[in-house]
Amino acid sequence: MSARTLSDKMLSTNHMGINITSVMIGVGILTFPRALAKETGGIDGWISIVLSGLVAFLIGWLLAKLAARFPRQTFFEYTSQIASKPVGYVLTFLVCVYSMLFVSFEIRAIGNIAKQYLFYNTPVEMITLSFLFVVQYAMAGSRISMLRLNLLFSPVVLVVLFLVLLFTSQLIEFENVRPFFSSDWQSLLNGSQAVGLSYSGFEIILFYTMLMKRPKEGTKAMALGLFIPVVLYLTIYIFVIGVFSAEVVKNLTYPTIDLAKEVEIPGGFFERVESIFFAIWIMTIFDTCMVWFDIAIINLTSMFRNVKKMVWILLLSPIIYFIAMLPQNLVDFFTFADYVTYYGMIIVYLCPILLLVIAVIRGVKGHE
Amino acid sequence: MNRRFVLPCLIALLSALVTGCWDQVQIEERGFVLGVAIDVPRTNEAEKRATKESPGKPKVKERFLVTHQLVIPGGLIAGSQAGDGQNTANEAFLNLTSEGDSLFEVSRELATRTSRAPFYQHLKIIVISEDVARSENGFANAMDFLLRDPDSRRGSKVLISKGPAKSIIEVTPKTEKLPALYINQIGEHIDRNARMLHQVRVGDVHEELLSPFGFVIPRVRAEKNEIKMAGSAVFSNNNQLVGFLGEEETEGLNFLTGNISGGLLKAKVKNDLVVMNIQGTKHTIKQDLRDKQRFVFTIHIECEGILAEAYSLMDFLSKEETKKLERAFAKEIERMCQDTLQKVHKEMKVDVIKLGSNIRQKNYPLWKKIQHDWEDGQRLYEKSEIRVKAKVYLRNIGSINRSELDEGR
Repeated sequence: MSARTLSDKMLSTNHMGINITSVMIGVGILTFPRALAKETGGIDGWISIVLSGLVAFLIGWLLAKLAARFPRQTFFEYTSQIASKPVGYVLTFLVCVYSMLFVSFEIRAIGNIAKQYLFYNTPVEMITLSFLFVVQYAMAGSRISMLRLNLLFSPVVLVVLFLVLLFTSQLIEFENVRPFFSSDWQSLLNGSQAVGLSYSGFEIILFYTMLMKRPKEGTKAMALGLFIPVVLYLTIYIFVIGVFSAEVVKNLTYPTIDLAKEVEIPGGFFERVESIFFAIWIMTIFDTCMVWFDIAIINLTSMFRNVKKMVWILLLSPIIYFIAMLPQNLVDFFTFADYVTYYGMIIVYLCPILLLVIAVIRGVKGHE
Repeated sequence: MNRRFVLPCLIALLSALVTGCWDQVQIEERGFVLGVAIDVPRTNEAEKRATKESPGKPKVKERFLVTHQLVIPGGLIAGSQAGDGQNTANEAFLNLTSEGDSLFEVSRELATRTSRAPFYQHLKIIVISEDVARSENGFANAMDFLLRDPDSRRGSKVLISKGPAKSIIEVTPKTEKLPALYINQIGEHIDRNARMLHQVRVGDVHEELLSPFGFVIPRVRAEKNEIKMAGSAVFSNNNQLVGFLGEEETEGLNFLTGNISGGLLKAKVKNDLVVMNIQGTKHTIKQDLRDKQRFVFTIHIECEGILAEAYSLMDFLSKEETKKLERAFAKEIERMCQDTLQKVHKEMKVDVIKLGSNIRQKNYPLWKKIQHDWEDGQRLYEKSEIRVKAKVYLRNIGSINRSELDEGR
């Protein structure tokens, strides 16, 4: 009986994949077509999406390998084991900062976009705060049940996105899509970099492998978790370019929202389909926020064992909220997003890969 | 202590969060805007008054006279008594006209005049007058607010009016309660008549404004109780109105761009009229780009349809006669296309057939080199040659062969 409940409390491989997908789909899905169209200037952006998807998978594979080496240990424990305790402390602390910045970014995005399209008079501060409260509430419960929300939300999200795409397919104009293969390698690489910012999120495997039933299958979960966003981004990009043409996409603030606004259900009994799109998009942001907040807390509790989870939640929330309120306008906000992602590239991609190299060379291995 | 501390906090928090809604707008307070008409003010009196009130205000190049059509929901209910008081005419709409430097200004000015503040989410049509479209940047400026406002939709239809735009949405059609919906509905009849353009949405306009080519937008004219949507307004690649195409020229243009989903085709055979009901067309463009100074485009048009009306007394079931008929129709298509080309290619010099886009799609490296010399610069479009070849397939002759005998004439 007890063994069964224990395995119930663990993540299956597919569940881990869905978690990765849920975290990756966030704010980037709304803005990446603009960045990509700006760099590649046409439909060729799809190559960039695939390219950076492959790079993401390579990095993700390495991260999964690292985490699988230490199946039941926390990030703090295995970094300390590989590269001494002080390094473990510093790195884990930096990861906490990263995940907190990420939460700040996401809740501010909710505030900005909800104000622009849904609540014209409500202050951004209020929208952001109430959203943060909901995230706090989700955090207060058990970790596994929180992660199960990802599993519950993902089919709804995917079905609604599919419907939006289905209803806009009639608006695709072939002349917007052509010419194929018109961009040079330089712009494709720039495009990959631009879309790469929307791929961040798969690094959660570093922290959740310890909860997996079969940690060795982390790479499999990574493949599934990356496959869904890559396919989704590809379809969205092709649709956005086909419906609007590259020139327009460059000039839309949130191309994907405008795609949802284009939907017209024949018969005219239901206009404003974007309201449903907003609902599911807020769900995806909620997923992302929860997971990042949780990662901050996992890492903090692994460093300071006698402080309770609730204390951390209440302590971190004001800081997160304060950072979220720092960007003064849309331009500031996008720059903030870029900096967070670049910072993350060093902290959660580069450092762990270095750790893996060291672990392999020194032959450091975790215990079951 | 714990409870004494937490409870007041909770109460304070909940009373702040749960009690109110900043954005609560009752549906009765919304003024659903269905149509917007944008004109150039006829007199500058309003401007003088505004300058008198605030002499220091920045001078602007152009001003807009904007008419909003709001719905009066009470008037929509069939047979409803005019019980709401002032609405004695039992009309379902209200037109409000206001003048200002910008569209946003006008929109907010309306809030000082009506109990229902304008709400653009259900905007159906936007009519822009010829004068606005002819002025420099006028068209793009008029569209900016409607594109930028997160509240408005990219699916609203755009029309250019010959004459004042205000008079278009002021018509009182007998069949519909709301003029804007009436106009919107007419725009959907493209499968009935080839002499009107396909509807142009706000999103399409944004696309065209950003593209390096000229474009066309449906033209609309107002009469007393009705409007007529036929013909098209031609914009140059710097987004300025350069002229109009008539009804037949528009049909020719539709043939050239392959945008026909239905309509009719008249031709003369043996001095008598025959009419075909078009049921589908297909068009392909062949390009010969060897000589840079003289590109040659051949537009192949294939058209199929059934006989709708025939005054000519022929045996339509014979093979030779059908061939003759098909050739006559094909010739007619070619003539119409040539007339259109004469105007858009030779006179207006605007690439509304999107041949440039065709080069861009098929031969991108070449397009990269010539893109600044297409409509401007060396004017390669003007120098190119456009040929039209049409082929017609008559699929059916209808229920009868002859309606009267030859001897009867």
